[in-house]
Amino acid sequence: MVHVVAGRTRTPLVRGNARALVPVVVLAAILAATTCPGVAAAAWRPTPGQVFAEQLASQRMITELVSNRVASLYIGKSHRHGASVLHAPINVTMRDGNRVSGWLVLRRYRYRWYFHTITAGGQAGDISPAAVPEGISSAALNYCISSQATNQWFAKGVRYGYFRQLDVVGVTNNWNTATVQFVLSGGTRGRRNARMTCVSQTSSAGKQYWFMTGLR
Amino acid sequence: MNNRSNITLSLIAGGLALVVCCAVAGWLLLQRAGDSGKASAGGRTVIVFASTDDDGAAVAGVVALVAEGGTKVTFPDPLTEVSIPGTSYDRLRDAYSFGGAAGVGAALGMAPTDAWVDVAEAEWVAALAAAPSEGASGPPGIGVELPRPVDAFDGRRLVSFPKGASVVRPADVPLLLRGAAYLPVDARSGVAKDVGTAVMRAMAERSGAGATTNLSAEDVAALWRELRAP
Repeated sequence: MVHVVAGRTRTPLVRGNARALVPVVVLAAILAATTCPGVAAAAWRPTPGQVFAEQLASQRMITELVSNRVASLYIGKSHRHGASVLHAPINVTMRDGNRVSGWLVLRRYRYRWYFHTITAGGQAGDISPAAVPEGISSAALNYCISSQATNQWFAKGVRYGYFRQLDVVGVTNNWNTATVQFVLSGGTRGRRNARMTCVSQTSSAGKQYWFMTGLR
Repeated sequence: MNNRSNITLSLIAGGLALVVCCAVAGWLLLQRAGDSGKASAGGRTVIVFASTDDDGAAVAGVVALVAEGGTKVTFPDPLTEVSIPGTSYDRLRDAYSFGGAAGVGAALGMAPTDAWVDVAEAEWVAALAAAPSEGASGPPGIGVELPRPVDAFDGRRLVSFPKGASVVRPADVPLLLRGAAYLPVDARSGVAKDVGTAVMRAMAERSGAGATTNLSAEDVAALWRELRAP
């Protein structure tokens, strides 16, 4: 069918019976955008506000780590959603014997992987927006972002199962820092040592926040 | 006649003695008034190089006790337990918030008239940056030896000081002092001595410019001259 509009002819993009499928395709796209992290992550960028919200969602696990209450983490088989999101289930064994299951999510931006969240329970990657409180500087959050350039080997290891088990050897506290020492094992590669220095800042309201940086 | 002469002579002698006594007493009083606020460097001198703690409060970063005219120097641990009257704080470094270098001296049991020298962080860092390098051709900085890595985050950057021997840049020395507070006491003392020696020498190179003190100009100049001597 050809439409004539003011002397011009227009040929519809979808012809004949296929036009009936248009609403179905549109509905599928909407569902994909709202449920598939790979599609939803297309707009993700590691900005200070975004990173704060993610690390806020991860505060429980990060605090347990820097307080040396975590004995080990087991990283299960990872799933990649599109080009930019990596989910992996984790099982955390606490030093008091309790076990917690959760998710480790990494996100990719401009060819670099970044920590997104490490959470207990819940859905992978579910976070709520959060305003950065007064006293938490964008300089500190930007440092968290830039320091994760060293994470690429870790992201690759999670993706391809180079290691599964992270044993926490110890935690060393310093000025506004806590360095978590790990031994990585249980995958297709040999054992290796690693460490992550988490940094902290206290808001004007007196609440201390811990932030993950890069794994080396 | 002789008796009258003797009495007269006695009165004159007594009067003269009284005058001399008054003159001596007056001189002594004037000397004490002239000396008020001016300590003597002949005893101990406390030199405090200021820093800040986790909460941003001013604290004593490095404390140097100088004795015997500058020939004997020790570096008390800033985390030494002390009594700071009227407060609940009990660490030597916190005495600085309540009285500056004089407060630190008091916490160490020194008298109010003992000598003190107070150097703000910006001044001693500038002195370090301007001081000659320790090595013949090495970068400016302080050589330290750490038993384990020390990390310090200042809200903008993370500085990691490695285990073992290294040279710390002048701008990073304040961060090293903050991180070193988490080391065991033996290691802390080593850092305090290394940093304190270098900072004192750097300040002596500029004759203590930028420091405040209760010493007279002559005494403080003599002190820095002695500290500059190899």
